[in-house]
Amino acid sequence: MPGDGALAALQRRVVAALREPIGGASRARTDLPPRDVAASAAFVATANDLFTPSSALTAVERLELYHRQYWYRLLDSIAEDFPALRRALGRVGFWDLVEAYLEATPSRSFTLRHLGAGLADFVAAHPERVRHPVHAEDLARLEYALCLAFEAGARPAVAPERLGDLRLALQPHVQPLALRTAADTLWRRADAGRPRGRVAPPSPTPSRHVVVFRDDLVPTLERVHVGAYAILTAIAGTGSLDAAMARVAEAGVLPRRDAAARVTAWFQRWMRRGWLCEAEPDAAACDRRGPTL
Amino acid sequence: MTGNRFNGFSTLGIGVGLRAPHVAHVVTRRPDVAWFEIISENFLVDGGRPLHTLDRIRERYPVVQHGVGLYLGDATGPSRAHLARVKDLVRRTGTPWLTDHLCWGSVDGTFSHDLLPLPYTAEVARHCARSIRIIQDTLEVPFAFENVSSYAAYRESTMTEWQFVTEVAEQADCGILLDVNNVYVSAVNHGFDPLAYLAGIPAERVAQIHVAGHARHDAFIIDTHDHPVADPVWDLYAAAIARCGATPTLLEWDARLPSFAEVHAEARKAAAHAGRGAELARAG
Repeated sequence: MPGDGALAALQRRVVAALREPIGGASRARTDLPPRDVAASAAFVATANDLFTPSSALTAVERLELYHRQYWYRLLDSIAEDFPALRRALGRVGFWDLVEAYLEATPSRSFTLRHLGAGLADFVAAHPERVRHPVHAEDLARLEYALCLAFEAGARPAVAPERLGDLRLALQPHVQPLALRTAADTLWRRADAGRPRGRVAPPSPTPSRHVVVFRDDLVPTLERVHVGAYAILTAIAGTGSLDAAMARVAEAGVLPRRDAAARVTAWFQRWMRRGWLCEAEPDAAACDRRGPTL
Repeated sequence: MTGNRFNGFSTLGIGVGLRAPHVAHVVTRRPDVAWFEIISENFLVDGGRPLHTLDRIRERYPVVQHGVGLYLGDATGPSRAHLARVKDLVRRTGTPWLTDHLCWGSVDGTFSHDLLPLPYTAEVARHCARSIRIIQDTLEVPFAFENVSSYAAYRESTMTEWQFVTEVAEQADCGILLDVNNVYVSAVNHGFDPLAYLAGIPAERVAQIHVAGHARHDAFIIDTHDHPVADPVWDLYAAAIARCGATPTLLEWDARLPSFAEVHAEARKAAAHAGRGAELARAG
């Protein structure tokens, strides 16, 4: 089925119209800050070229019904997925950012659950958009990781005696993150409904390490030692316990005191939680994303 | 109720659309519901609470999958990746039939997350039928498409919506999920007679019926699923039953969601209106 016919051309015009900024009375019904936005000439032309007027509505008004529904749906979804970021940035800062992100980033997934996939990278690329860009980036990355943990898979956990002879991976819901801010604290405060507290300045390099994971079906996170973070990310990167430990030892990030005992305790904790699993034989073969039929 | 080949000869009666805020109630209180309809895309995940919940619901109730993401009218045709995910879910749920919408929603990989109307032309009908045949061949389960509510009509349309629905269903040899609320909403928005719509579609292909509430504005109606079913929609439902015979029926309620008991009570009203429809049929 070629996507270059008249139907595809029509659909491209409608999607382009839907993605135009929202203004007027439709905008006033959202939390977006006031902004003078008028329907573009392209929007008006699309409406008049494609649609008939009804006895009650012009063609432009009819297209506008779809246009506003598009925006309402996306705005509701992203606000639900990033509650701590919303609190941290405040109403105007958050919605300014979200609007800029959605204008720049079309949804590329069948599900709105993935709408915020690029928000952290967008903040990193456009730090001028927000007042606390490093906090915003960390929080966006953290909250999207929590979204992924909600729905990620879980494979059979590796038994301790097999750790040395299998190609290892982290459970899909286990995501180590390195932060430059106290984003985890901000998230916990937001999650508990407590006041945001002081926003400390970011550190120049990652200073706080957390693991986002799913515990009894609930996405959550915990702070970990930089050495634990390094081991987990090295296992994810190498698939080998020996290679991971060698890489971490070389990096010099293990605890200075009682390193062996602490590493053992970390592994015991991870094994209890089933965080380590056998890597899939060929990740590419398991990726069902393919060409359309 | 005898069912037909488009709903796996189902004898399911009145069902309720499963919504997340009601899951705990359903799992713990086990209400007397004939079946639940799930939104397929909410369960196209690799793990976690959605699948855990689904398995618990499946232990006690028949589940029918209703999709919002196959986009039968997308110019590029159905996505192989999406079909693979839906097929995995079909295996998990054992859905006796599967439905999605006669609409489009994405182009060039950009998603509108809406159920957008199509131009009603012979060419587009052929295109949709081709997509449905691919879907049926891939999923290997009876398939029915739902008529969507619409707020805009294309200049290039050359037939009525019910003619278009009939063309697609017959060319694809598939069933129809007749949403009588959508028929009513579109009838008001476009100024056609909803009874002419019912009379114009092939009744023998109706696999399932949807009822829902809508929001009335000065100049149009929006399909919001946030109210009880309006009386004119119940009347249309009775007329649909009179024409199609007893048909699995489902209440959709998505926004401003009241308690499960309230939603269930609204769904149960369908029985009385179906009885009215059966009487209409007997009276000829």
